Amino acid sequence: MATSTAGVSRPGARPILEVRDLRTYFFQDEGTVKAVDGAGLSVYAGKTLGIVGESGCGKSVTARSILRIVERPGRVVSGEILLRDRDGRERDLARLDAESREMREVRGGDIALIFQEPMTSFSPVHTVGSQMIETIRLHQELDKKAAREKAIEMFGLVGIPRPERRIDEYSFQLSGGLRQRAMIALALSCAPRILIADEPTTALDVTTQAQILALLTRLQQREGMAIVLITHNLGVVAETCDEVAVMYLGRVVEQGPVDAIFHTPRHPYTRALLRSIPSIHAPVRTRLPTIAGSIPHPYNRPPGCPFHPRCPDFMPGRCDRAEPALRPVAPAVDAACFLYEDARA
Amino acid sequence: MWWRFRRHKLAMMGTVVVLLFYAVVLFADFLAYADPGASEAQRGLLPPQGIHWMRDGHFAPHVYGLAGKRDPMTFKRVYTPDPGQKIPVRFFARGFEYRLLGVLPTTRHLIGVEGARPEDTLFLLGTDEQGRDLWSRLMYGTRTSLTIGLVGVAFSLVLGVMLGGVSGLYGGLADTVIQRVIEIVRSIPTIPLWMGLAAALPNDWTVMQVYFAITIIISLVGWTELARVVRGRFLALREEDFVTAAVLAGSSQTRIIVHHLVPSFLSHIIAATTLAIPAMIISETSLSFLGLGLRPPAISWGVLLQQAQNIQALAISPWLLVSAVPVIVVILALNFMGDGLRDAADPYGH
Amino acid sequence: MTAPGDGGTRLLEVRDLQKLFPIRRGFLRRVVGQVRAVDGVTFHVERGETLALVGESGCGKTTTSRCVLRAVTPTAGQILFRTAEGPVLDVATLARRQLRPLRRQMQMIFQDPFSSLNPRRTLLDIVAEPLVANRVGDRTERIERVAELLRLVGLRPEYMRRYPHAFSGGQRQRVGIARALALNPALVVADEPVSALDVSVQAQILNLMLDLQAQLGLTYLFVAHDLSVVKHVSDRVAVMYVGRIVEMAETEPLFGAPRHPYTEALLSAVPKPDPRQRAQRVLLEGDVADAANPPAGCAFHPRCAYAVERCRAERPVLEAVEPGHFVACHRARELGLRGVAR
Repeated sequence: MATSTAGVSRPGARPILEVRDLRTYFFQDEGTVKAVDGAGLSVYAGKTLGIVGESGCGKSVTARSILRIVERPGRVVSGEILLRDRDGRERDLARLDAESREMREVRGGDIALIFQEPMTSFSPVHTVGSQMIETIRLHQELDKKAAREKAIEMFGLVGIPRPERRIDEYSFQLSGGLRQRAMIALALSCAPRILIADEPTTALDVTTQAQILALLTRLQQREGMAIVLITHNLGVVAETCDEVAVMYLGRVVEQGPVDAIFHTPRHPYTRALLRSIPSIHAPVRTRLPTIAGSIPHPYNRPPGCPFHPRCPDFMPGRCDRAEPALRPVAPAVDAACFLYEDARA
Repeated sequence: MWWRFRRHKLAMMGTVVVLLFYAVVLFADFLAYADPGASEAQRGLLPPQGIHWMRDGHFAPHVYGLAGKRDPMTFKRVYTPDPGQKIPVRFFARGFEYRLLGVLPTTRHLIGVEGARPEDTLFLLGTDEQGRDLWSRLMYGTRTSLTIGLVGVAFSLVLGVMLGGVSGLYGGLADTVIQRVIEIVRSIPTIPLWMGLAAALPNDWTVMQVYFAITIIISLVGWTELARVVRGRFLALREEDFVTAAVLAGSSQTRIIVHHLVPSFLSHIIAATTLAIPAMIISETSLSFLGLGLRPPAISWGVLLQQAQNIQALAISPWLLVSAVPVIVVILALNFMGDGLRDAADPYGH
Repeated sequence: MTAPGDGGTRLLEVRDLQKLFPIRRGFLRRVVGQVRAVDGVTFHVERGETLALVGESGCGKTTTSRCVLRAVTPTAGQILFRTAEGPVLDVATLARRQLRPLRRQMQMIFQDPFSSLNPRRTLLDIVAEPLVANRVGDRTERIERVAELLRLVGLRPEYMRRYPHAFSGGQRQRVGIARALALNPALVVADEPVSALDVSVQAQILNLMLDLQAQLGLTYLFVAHDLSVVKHVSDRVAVMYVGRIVEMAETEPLFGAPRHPYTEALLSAVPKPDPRQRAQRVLLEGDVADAANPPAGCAFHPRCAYAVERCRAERPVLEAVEPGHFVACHRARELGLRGVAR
C-alpha cells in the first residue's frame, strides 16, 4: 500500500496547508470510483502550487475534498488535511463535519475557491454586488453600508472598471473576463490565506487569460496569500507557479519546483506529457510524440502503478504488482516510480 | 434509462399497482361474480357482507344467507343477514357466462356461491339502489375507466406529436400559430368546456358512440401538454452537432426526424404519456359524475359515483362511494410511475 | 470573376463573405441591430494545404466555417468551390437540390466528441450515415467501408457494433473523423477538433490528421483558438477579430514576424511551457470587442497600443505587405512587432 508523504520539504518554512495520503472515493452502484487515491501536497504562504493533470486525475476532487464540498456519493475516506493557523495551531479538516460551523468558517475565511465557469457560480437572480455583500457580512462584522463599500473596493482591486456601477449588475451582464474578476473579488472578500483556483482561465480567451493570470500574481504579491492553481494547461503552470504537483489517476506522481519539473522531469508520465504538448515554438507542421494508449476508465484501474500500461519504462513484475510511494528523488523533488527506488537501495 | 427507473422506489411501487389494475381490466369478468346488470330491486342497498373464513376451526369460507322480513312500517321486504344460514363460498365457482379475454367462453369466476338462491349471493361491497352487486360493477367500471384513459391518450399522442413536431422543427409562422392555439385551448376552463361539448352530444346516441365521442372530446384538450414537450425536445435537438452532421452528410429531412430525433425523445414521450393518463381518467370520471359523460347502462367509476350523489348515500349507504378509492389509488400510482419515468429519461432536465 | 485563379490549384475561394444575425427586441420582434458575425472575409485555400482560422470568441471563425459548408446561409459574398467534376460552383447561392450532391465533397469534424455522435446509434450507423443518405453501396459494401474507415483512424473494426458511450473522448473524435471521410471529400472543415480533448490525446489526433492528409490528399480548413495547435498542423494562418481577417500569412512568417498588433498580442498571451521564459507580455486592455456593436474604423483600435487618429476613423483593408503576407492595418509597414522565437 503506497502512502504519500507530506511532499516537498522546505527548510525554514512550514506549509500552511498540508495534505497527507488523501483518499476520496465515489460509491456508485456501478462500482467505486477512487477519484483521489493517496494524494499528498504542501502549500506554502505567498507561493503558488500548480496541480496539473488530465481528465480523471482527481485534481478538482482534491480541491473539493480540501474544502469538504465533495458531492454525494463521494466521500473523503481517509487521509489528513492539516490547516495551520498563524499561531501554529493545526486543524485536520478531514476530521471536521462537512456541515459544521467550523468548516463553514474555513470556507471563504481561510480558504477560498474559484471555479472554471463563472456563469454558474453566480446566482442569476441576484446582483453580483448583493452576493459579495452577503459573503462579506457572513465572515465579518460589518453593516450594510460598510460592506457595500468594501465590495466596491474589492471590485476595484480586481480591475473591474467603474466598480460602483458594476456592483449593481447581474452576472449575465458582465463579459467572461469581468465575471471571472468578480468571482475572484468574491473569493478574496474575506482575505483568505489560501486561494484555490480550479481551472480559472480555461473558459476564457487567451488574451483575457493573460490578464487574469497577471491579476492573480499581482494580488498574491499584495496580499501574501498562497494560491493553488488547478489546470490541465502546462503553459499556464510554467508561467505562474512556484511548485508543481503532477497527478495521474488519483495520485500525485511527481512534485517539485517548477523549473525542475519542466527541465528535469523524473516520472515517465511527466516526461511523456511534456513532450506531447503542442508549442508555438515548435517547427511548423511537426508530428508530436504521443503517450501510447489512453487514460483508463476509473472503474478499470490498472493494478500496481496506475501508469504502467502506458509507460515506456515499464518493468514487468514490479510495476504491475505494487504501487510506488511518493519519495524524494532529488533535492526538493518527489516522484512515485520504481525506477528511483532501486537507486536508493 | 431502465436502470435509473428501477431505483426510484415510489415509481416501482406505482408501476406494480398500475399493472395490477390493468390485470383487473383484462380479467374483470373473472373477478366479478355477479352479472353487473342483473338487478333485484328487493336486494337494494344491502351493506357489504364480509366473508367469514373459518367455521368450527376449519377453513371454510362462507357468507350468511339473507332472511327476508317484511318491514311492518313500509311493507317492503327487507333483507338482513341471518347467521343461521351459512352459504359456502367457493373459489373458481361457476357463475354467469362470459368470454375470458374476449375469446374463451367460460363460466368460472374467482369466487362465487354455487347453487344458492338468487337473493343469497355474495355482496362483498354491498349493492346499489337497484340491487346490483357493487363489487362486480366496480370490476367492470375499472375496465371502462382505465381503457377510456388509454384510447384518449392515444389520440392525444398522435395529435400532440404531429403538431408539436411541426412546431419545433419548422419554427416560424407555423410554430407561432400552433403555440397560440395551444395557449388558447389551455386557457379555457376545462369543466365548462367539457360540459358544453358533452351537452352537445345527441341524446339518442348509443353507449358506444357516446364512449368514443367522450374520448375524442377529452383528447382534444389533452394534446396540448404533449405538444409542448415534443416541441421543446425538437428545439433542443435541432441544435445538436450530430443533427448538423446528418444534414451535412446529405440526409433528408425525413431521415433525420426518424433516425435521429425521434429516438432521442422517445423516453420523454413515454414519460409524458404516462402522466397524461391520469388526467384522462379524472376527466372521464368527472364528466360522468356530472352526468355528462357516460351514462347507465354503461359502467365506469364516474357512473358509479354519479349514483351516489345524494345525502342518502353519504348517510345511510356510504359503501356506494367505494369507487372513489380506485380513482385515487390509480391516479397516484400513475403519477409516481410517470414521475419515475420522467426522471429516468431526463435526470438533469436538459 | 467566377473561376478561382491559378489554373485549378485553389480548391476554395471565399470572397467578401458576410453573415449578419438580426437582433430582435420587443413583443413584435422588430429588428433593432445586426450582429456582424462575419464582416467581409476574403481568403482562399489551395488543394492539399491546411489553412487555419484563428481568433478568440466572437471573431467569426466558426460562423465562417459553417458558411463554407452552407450549414448556415451567408448574407452576402461568394464561396467558390472547385468540384471534383471540374466546374466551380458558388456554394453561397446554390439551390438546395444542387447542394446535396456537393455535400459529398466537403465535410466537417466537430469540436465536441460527446454531442457530435448520436448516443443512440452504433458506430456502424454513425459512420455509415453519409453512405446511406447518399445511397452508396449495399449493406455488405457499407459494412466493409466502415471497417476500412475505422482502421484508417486507428480503431478496431469490431467496435462498430458498440455505442459511443463506451468510448473515450479521443476515440469518439476518431469516429467523427471516420464519418467525415466516408464519402472521400476533398475539403474537410475541422471546427476546433482537439479543444475538448486531453493534452496527451490532442497529440494523437493531430498526428492522425496530418497522416490522413498525406495519405488521402485532403485539404483542411482548421478552425482553432489555440495557437500552439495551429503551429503543428497549418501551412497558412488567418487571424480573425470581430468578423474580419486582420492578418493572413504562411505559418512561419506569421509566428516569427507578425505584422498586426493583435497577432502580436495574441502570440505573447499564449503561456509558454517553459518557466525560464516568463517573458514580458503584451497585455491588452479591456475585453474582446462586441460583434453587435463593433468600434468604428479599425475594430481593434480601442485596445491597440499603436493606434493613431486614422485608426479610429477609417477601416483598414486587407492587403499584401509582402508576397503572401496580408495585413489589415494602417501602420503595418512602419511597426516593428515581436514574434515567437524558434
